[in-house]
Amino acid sequence: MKVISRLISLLLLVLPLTVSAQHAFTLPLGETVKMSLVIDTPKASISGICLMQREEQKVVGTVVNEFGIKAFDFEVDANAQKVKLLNTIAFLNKWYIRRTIASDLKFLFFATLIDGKAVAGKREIVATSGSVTLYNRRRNLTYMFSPLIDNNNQTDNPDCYGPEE
Amino acid sequence: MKNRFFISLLLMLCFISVDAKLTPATDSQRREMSQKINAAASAMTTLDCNFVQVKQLKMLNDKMTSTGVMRYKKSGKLRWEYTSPYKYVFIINGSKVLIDTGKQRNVIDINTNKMFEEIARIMMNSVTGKCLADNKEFAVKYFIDDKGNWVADLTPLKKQMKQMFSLIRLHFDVKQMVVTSVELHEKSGDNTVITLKNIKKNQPVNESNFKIN
Repeated sequence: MKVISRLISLLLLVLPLTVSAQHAFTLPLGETVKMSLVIDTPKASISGICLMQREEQKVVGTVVNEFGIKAFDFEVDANAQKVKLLNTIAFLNKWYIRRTIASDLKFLFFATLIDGKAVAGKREIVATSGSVTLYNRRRNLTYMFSPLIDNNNQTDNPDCYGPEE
Repeated sequence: MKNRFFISLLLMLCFISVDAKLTPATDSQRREMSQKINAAASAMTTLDCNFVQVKQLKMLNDKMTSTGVMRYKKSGKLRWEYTSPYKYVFIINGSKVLIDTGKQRNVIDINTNKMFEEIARIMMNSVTGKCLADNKEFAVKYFIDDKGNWVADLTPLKKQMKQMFSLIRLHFDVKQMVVTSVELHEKSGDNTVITLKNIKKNQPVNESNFKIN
């Protein structure tokens, strides 16, 4: 009985913490979420589309440019807390670039946001009204994710992309 | 047991019939196809059409569809504009490329950017069919589909292209003598099919479509 009441107390203590936790993206299970993505680097600005899909214990995604040419695929393993980059386009396929992008994505998917913000070292996430921006100040990189709004007045439900309550 | 045999046979026949849709061209057909496509590409002054781009994503087991407008004018002018689900304009005019994302406009000199030079060349040569004449860039195989239209399979020979695509397939409408669809097959298993619709060939196209700055 004592054990059960302790467990209940613990659960009650943990529950509010879990509820207030926020993540950069809210991804409905099994649905593909499309976002427009701009990556600013010191040399250039690259635009494209990021498509993500949540499976049971992982998120799979791909980044393509507007012509459909793939930049890279990624796999976020929730259990191992790891991000793996796959099928990286030749000009990005260097170990240090892969490592930087994978680390940035790891922070993006696993960081807990408070009031739409998360900071760790030189990385920062700012989430506002459906858009999510990740700054990597060490490498001078900015990843800007924003809802992909159909120009034919069809909206891809931007509410889905805001910080998780 | 019998059922299993018939199902296997049916499945086999299905695969055979998919393959049978493309018949390899004979030597004389190949010569005729190559000659006519090159002649049509040279005679093409303008091209104006809509397009539907469907990208199959192996990783997500899903697809992404985009639509837009394409305009080409001899020589070296191309407007490739996505209108849905995003706005993105890519204009090639001589040695300059304009990229307008709706939020940002960038003008790039293709002489200083090898990648854009490559993209510009491939896009124009694919829609006009000129790339078939480029023996150094691609190994070309010709086929005839079940409707009598022509298909060309282009296998990249150069390293840069090989890294991006394993195969590029062009479909030609024999009556209009234009490319009607472009398939881009990637090494990762993804592929993109661009289908050209409402094709108007050699009709006046306003110069303002290719304005950069």
